[in-house]
Amino acid sequence: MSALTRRRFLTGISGLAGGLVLGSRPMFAKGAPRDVPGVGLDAVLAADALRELAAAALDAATANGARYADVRVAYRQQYVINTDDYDRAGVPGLEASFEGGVRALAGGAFGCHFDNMPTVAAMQTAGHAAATMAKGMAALEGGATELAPAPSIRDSWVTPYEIDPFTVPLTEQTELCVAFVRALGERVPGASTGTGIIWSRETRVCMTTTGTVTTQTFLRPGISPSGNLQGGLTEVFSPGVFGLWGSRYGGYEMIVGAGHQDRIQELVEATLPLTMYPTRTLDVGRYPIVFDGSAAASLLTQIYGPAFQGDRVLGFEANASGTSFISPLEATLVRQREAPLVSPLCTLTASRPTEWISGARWDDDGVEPQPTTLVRDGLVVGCMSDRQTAPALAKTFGASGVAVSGGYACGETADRPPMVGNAHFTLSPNTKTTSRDDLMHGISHGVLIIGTPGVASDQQLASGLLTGQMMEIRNGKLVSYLGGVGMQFRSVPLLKSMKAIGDASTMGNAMARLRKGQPTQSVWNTASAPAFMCPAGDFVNLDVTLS
Amino acid sequence: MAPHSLFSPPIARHTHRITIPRAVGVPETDPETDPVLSEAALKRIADMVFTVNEGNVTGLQVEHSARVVTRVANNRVLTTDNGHQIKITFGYREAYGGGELRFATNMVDDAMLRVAFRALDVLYRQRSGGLPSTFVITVDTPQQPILPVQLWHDTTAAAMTNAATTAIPKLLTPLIQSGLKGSAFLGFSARSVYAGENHGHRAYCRETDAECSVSARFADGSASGWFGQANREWTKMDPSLVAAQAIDMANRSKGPSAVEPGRHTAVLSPFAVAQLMAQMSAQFDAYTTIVYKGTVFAVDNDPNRDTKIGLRVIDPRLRLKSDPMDPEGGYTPFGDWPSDGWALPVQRMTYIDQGVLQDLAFGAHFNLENGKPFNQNPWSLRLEAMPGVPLSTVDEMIARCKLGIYVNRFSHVQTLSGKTALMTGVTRDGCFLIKDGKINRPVKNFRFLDSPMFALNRLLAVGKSERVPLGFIPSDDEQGYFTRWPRRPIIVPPLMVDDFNFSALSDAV
Repeated sequence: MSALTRRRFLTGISGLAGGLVLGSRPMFAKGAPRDVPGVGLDAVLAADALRELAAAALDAATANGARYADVRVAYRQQYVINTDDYDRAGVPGLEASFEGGVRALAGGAFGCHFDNMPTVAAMQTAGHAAATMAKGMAALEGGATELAPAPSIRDSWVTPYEIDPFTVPLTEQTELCVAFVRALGERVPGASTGTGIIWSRETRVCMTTTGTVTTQTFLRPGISPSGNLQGGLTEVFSPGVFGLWGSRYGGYEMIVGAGHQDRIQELVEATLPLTMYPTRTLDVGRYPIVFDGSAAASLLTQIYGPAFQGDRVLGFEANASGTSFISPLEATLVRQREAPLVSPLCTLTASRPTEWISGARWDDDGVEPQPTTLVRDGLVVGCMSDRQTAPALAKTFGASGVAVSGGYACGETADRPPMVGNAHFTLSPNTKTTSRDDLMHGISHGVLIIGTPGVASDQQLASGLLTGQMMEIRNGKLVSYLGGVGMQFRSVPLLKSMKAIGDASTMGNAMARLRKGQPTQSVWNTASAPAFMCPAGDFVNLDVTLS
Repeated sequence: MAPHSLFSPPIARHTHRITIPRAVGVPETDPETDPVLSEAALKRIADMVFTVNEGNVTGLQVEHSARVVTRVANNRVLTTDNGHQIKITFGYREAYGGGELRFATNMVDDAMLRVAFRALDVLYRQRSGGLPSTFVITVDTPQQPILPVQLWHDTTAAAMTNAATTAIPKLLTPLIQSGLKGSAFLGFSARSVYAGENHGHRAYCRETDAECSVSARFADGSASGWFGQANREWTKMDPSLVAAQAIDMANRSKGPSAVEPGRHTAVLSPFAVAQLMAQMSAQFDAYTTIVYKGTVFAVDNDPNRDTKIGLRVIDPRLRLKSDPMDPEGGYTPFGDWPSDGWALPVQRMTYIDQGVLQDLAFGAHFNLENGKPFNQNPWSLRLEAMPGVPLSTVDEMIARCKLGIYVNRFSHVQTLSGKTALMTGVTRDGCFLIKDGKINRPVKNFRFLDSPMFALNRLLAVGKSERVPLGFIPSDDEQGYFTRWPRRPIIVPPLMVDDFNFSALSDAV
């Protein structure tokens, strides 16, 4: 199929689909010469300048008595395209920012200081101040901060892309958004009422006093559609399709590339039939549940993955986002000598593959991320770590040898102190053929949860209320959509009760932005998971009416 | 010219200008020791931007923010997070017309601005002749003056340089002595902001704020307690008290037992009420209410009204206000230019009086459509008893409760439905059974599933309102008011409400 020509979607699909037309004007053809100048923000701060600023900060920190210091400096550009509620172009724009954050270790304590002026003087001030603060805090410390060692790395990396979105004309990108909104609005009542794209390119340098210099450039789209739809189209276009776009690094080819447009069509074709089901309610009670792949992945991004962040597990977040359902870790490891914490069907890993926005070549400690098995056959065997949490975690797990960081240190921006975050979680699928229909087979009355539900959790991620798209199963078949229903769950018992898990064909993806820290920072989690079935979930009625 | 309607075909621009008197009562002096730039310094930056590309910058906001943060975990200093940022956001439009573009940067120098204008020019020429844009409206409408506010305290500004080293031991020492595992947050912030339009109004404000909170937990994770304070004036805060109260709450919470979930009378501390009311701010948005019918104050299928303005919505003993001049809950008295699109004056609002909805918040442009003054949603709000209503202390509420639950704090509160304000969350850091007028025993945490619109209509007693810290909030509103720092103050009372839905037990501690 032609890669980048604008074309009619869903031709041949009758009924509600009708066809989504992204306008009649052709998109630019792949390879066509571009004579439109880019927005030219690249020239402001090149990587060499960033490295010079980083070095100035480190020199100042060590001159002021820091025995170790690291610094992250970044130059970030954003290109904002949006529509308003009535499919007209909104107020687009640009953003350019510099962030620089220094972390100094002196006397066994950390001090962090940031500045957003890209000058040597400002970064020297930040480095000096970080060391001063560290020395001050060391006098109050009850113990020495220990950092896991890390090899020195000097390397660079850029997220691969084909088409630089900063060179694609504003008009074209706006037309794309507007056409999408119009097409959806024509076909689906109450459809998406606005959409936008925020292209973000960030070059981040991490430099340490132990010789690491990593330079990474990330390019990604942030897609933000909105709206509520009856039936399954919401799932297709938000976050299904937009999850496709917003969860990975890449350039403009992500939106106009043939593969993605085919995927959009596949998602629509797969989901539109679901909109033909009637909507019913569900009596409060306990029912068997099947999570489709995306719903399962959602649970990983919002509950099961974050529960294994080393700083949460060790109590660093106790006054903020909270701890974990495996805290205290020592007690969990003792308990699971009797029985696995969760179902033996569960093997959960964390990693930071570079195609996902949760990924990176090196973390914000300058460490190359390593895939980490968190749960193996139902047993907790690992946690996500950074250089600060790795020693304590290794000791608790009884690991031999020198503790090494897993490479999960992340600051939302370069000026924020890194925390443990940003990971891609994977739940291993069944190696035996098991489709979603197989999981539903034999369920006389149950619920299928599809898409990427929202999860309201708690301070230990130990329980939650799940809301989103649910379908009723009767005798192994889907019979209706369910409205006004939520599922209350307890995290460990839910996963412990997992009775069956799907194969690779049931895999789905999800993305979630969570907050932790004080003041809060964002953490981006992505996940891939197969469908799975649990024999019982507690369903409650969320349909309330105000007088 | 009539105000531009959102519903009419788009037109490129209007030509009227808005004129608003500048703020009165703002100090003109420029102390050398301030952690953030003075009005004069911010004005110099603004004038530079306005003049670098004369006439093309339509409006802007320049702000300087600074913070000093210390985090404690496991009875040790975890990290600091100190620094400052100057950020400017401006609107740009070519003289020959067309829609507006926006630019934001924290690299505030003329070299960056020259690059910015070149880039904007590229975009502008791509834009013009393309799709019609929406609006940038300037309308000659009489406006209220900018309210004089007092949000700055020199004691807090001074504390940014030295208070951490004296305050942190006051948090750490009792935690270590208690044998509990303590985590804490001590934060100071200062902010100055200057905004306005080219050839039009200008506005300036500066503020300081401080927040201190402590979580104390047993090492086995079986119980925890929390306490916090927030105030713009540092001298009104007491870290020793914060630590002591958190430790006391943790000790009282030891050995919790389970109580059957269900509907119970609830005595909610101000910490708990604040977590609910913070989620209510967006409910007062007029556009969401009238256009989307997406809030509790919307009315469907009634030809006579589209909102509940004039109807009783909560208990008549309560009122809800948002006032930039509130002595505890004051805030910047003009719009946030990057998110509101204007730096127009914000009004003193009584949204609910004697339980009756008085008005909604009309944001930028929609206010012009409806002939209303501009207002932001009440991200800072005061919920309080009407004058003359007898107030009860928490102890008095407990004393008159035959059977109920005392909640120290809620956590992870999320709104599930905008139309009903149905929320869910969990209790945290102190939850107790009340029996026969006394605290009977600590209980395991609950998940709740209820709406403040129900709870505030089942009011049994109300106490004295005070500013409380929000602590951690996991979700965010579109404009970041939940998570941006400094926080907008929330002033709330303790409440005793009937039939609060504790829908399930929570394993979380």
